[in-house]
Amino acid sequence: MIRKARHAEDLRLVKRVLRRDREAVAAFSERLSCVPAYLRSLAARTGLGISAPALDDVAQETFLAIWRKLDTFRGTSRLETWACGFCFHELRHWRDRHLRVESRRGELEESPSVAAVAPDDTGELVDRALARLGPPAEDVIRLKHFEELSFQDVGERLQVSPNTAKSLYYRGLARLREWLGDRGEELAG
Amino acid sequence: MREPEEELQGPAERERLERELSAPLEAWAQRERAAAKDAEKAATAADAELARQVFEGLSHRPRGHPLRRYGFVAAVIAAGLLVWLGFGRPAEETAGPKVFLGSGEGRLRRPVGEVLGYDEFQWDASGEDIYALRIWSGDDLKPTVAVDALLTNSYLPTPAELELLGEEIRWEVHVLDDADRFLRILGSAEARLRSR
Repeated sequence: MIRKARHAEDLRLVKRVLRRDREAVAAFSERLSCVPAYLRSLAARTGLGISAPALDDVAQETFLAIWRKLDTFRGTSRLETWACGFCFHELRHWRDRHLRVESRRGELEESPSVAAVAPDDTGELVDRALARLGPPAEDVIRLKHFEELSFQDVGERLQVSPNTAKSLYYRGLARLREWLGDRGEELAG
Repeated sequence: MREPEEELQGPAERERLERELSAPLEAWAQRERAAAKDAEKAATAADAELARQVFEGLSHRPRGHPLRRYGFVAAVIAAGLLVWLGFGRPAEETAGPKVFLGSGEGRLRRPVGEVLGYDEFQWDASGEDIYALRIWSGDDLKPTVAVDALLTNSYLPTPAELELLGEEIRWEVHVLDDADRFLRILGSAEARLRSR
């Protein structure tokens, strides 16, 4: 059973970055300039009212999280896809902090429900169900499907055992099925 | 009312869950991957500058927490003191497998000798090397499990890989270069499952 990195060039680049090769760091930074753009897109799609300076802060937090986990990159997905996987978590982190402040001011609005989504928008439906699920199962499912990670890699990223990741995954799926109900079955064909 | 997770007793139920949700989850993942691709085109000069500033700054910092370095230095001094005081006599030889240390720069930690399971392969190593793990089961000539490009000093076999491993195994850790070419053997060890 051989596990080969599908994106060997990206893995080589990351290894050079880990060795502090200056050229590699420059190339790596250039490649990851998509992260702030992806955060903007995520924020816009989820209707999150976030200012440009606050989004820059989230981008910096995301870069820091990526840097801390750089030695877990195995080249199983493209470098950009892998990096964008961190955005969900960091943006949610910002939203949670922000909502706590807002709720203290009594301005907290109810989170959007799954039922309110247009019937043909599968991606949006699942996205809302995942947001409702919340961490850590939400993170496991997002990483498993967005980056196509194994349970071992998911566990490494989230600092839990592969068995815990697996257990969270199936519990999360059970919740999603419950919420998506008939719509999930319709979507599954 | 039963909690949904209570229903997750068997593999059949898990398989059913995966089957039922695979299409909507794949649709979601495809949408997000497309959005990530679009973000590559939408990145501005300011985004690139922000990324450059952050990563350039981070690349000049030492890796790991500074206290960990002091901890390591303290451990080395303490070990030296113990040897100097005569407490550092090597432990008595115990019956067990031979551990070949290759170039002597590393040491295979687990599983070695009689063990309860092969849940984790772990080795000591310094520096920022890249490793390959090879595991032979029984008398097989070809490695039963081969994992390349490991950036950490441990590996957790997947359930499928575990199923392929027999009662007795031999395993090696190789050090690779940047292009994943073999440089040297870090160590080699044998392990066998303890009979119950």
